[in-house]
Amino acid sequence: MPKCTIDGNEVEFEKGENLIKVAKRAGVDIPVFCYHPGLSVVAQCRMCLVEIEKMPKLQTACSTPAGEGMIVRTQANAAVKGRAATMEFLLANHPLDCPICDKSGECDLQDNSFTHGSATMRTTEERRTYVDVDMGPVIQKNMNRCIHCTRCIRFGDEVAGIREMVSIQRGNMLDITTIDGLPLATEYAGNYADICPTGALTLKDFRFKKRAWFLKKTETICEGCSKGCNMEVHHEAGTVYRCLPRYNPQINQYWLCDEGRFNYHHTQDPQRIVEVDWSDSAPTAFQQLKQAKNPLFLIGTDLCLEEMKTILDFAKATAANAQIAHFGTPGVLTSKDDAPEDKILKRTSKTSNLNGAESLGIKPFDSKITNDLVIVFRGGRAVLPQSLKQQDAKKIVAVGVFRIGDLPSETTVLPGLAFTEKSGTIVNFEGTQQKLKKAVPGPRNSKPISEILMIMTQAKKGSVVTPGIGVA
Amino acid sequence: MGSGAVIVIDENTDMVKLLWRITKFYAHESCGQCTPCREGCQWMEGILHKLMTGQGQERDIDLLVDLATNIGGKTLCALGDAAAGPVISFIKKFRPEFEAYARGQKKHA
Repeated sequence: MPKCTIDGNEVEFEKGENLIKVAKRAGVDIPVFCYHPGLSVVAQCRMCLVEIEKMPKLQTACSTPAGEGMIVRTQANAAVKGRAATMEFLLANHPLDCPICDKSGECDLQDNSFTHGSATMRTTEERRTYVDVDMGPVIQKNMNRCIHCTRCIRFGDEVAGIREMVSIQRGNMLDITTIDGLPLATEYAGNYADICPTGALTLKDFRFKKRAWFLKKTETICEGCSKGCNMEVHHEAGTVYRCLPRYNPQINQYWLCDEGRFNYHHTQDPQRIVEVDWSDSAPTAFQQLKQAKNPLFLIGTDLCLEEMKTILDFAKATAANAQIAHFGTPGVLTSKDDAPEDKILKRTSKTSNLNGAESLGIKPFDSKITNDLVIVFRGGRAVLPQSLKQQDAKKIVAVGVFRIGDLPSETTVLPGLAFTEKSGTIVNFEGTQQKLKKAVPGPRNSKPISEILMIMTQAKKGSVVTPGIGVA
Repeated sequence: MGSGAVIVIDENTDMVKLLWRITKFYAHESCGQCTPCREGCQWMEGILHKLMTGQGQERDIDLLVDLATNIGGKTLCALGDAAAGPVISFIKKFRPEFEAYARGQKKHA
């Protein structure tokens, strides 16, 4: 493999790789604004200037492919001065409103200014201001903060497949906006906020809710569809504040759809059923199951493999004649019905673990209920069958995440945990097993399915059931 | 003019005003893609306008040279180089005229 030298480190590279990627491997971090590994290269921001031996001018590392024997110095005087100059130009018209900016704490402009810029300013001119347009329900625009890196334009063009962000005007009055000032139409709009290196595009959903540096990050998987996109749950003190995509070159790369990004809201729904008298409901439900002649176990395909296996074992041990079926998305009964919904990420199976349910040999639910008791397990996202809603409440026991109105009002609900509140394994449409990771503890009275089943079998009427421990 | 073009001017021409006019041209022509040219040309135009209208200071002259140096050779296309050239050479050749404006000895009508 050919080699080049970056800041004295000799490093191998593949033909065509740019200097930023090669430098990263050599442990040298070159600052960037307009460059994004998932987008095309435009070399507009001029932040990645480096000195290359035998080249008269400074070169942009993003647009320069590494060459055999190339000697690159990122810390040469000219390069350091060049980057400081770029930083000064970028901040000449930036409002510097970090204290009220949502990006503060995770802002490329802030970080690079701290490392490569100067602490003082030489501008006395009035700063440029813009009139903002409404960008729709997902994105809040603040054009004054924009540094014209055009990542958003390229994202729409190259990834989302819709050219809706454009630059209008020219020179100093260059404005980045939507065509005709229309709201964003893409279902991937949240990514605009992720790739924006400043606070020009921020999420309306996350706006003014939490400072970035307070958030703890848990790596997990999206439960929005069978794609299994990797994501990061950002939470603090038991509350989830947002979900961001996590890089996975095989599945979702750098992106996440809005449906998956904002899906966590269902776990915070005030209508979610979280209260139950365990010492009464659980033994009663178990009695009902014992007395039932042909109970039906309905398993949501939004549950993890571990939960499904526990339920199967429980059914085998307590109700040998039980009928077991899975449900998830209307119209998508098996993985054969599951297809891409668009050309980017989304799939038609709106639950995460359809393939997992099939691998455990669970059959799809065929919508007719002739049983004298239905015990339904759900993680919060699977769509409940219509026929179940018309059942007599006395014939249903619900375990998991339900909202008021999902089932007939008298139904016994034993509250379980949603996807941000538990760990487990899910299998995506390609058969890749991925791990969910518990980010937040979940409501006080909710329990994991394994514990719920244990309480059902062991608790006697009136016995004390303490949160998080089980039967005392 | 910085871009290789030649302008013939009268020896009585006000060089500060001429430089402002040239820089204004480049600030207007800048496409706005790359940072130094987009931000720098407008900035230099603003400083020159201040100088010309009697609100400038002597340190603005050095700032102009510094900004022009920071633009030159760092832009995406040659427009930035062309904008930086005149600023550097005008101040090098006609510095006293700029200083006269900065000290308030001369003011544009």
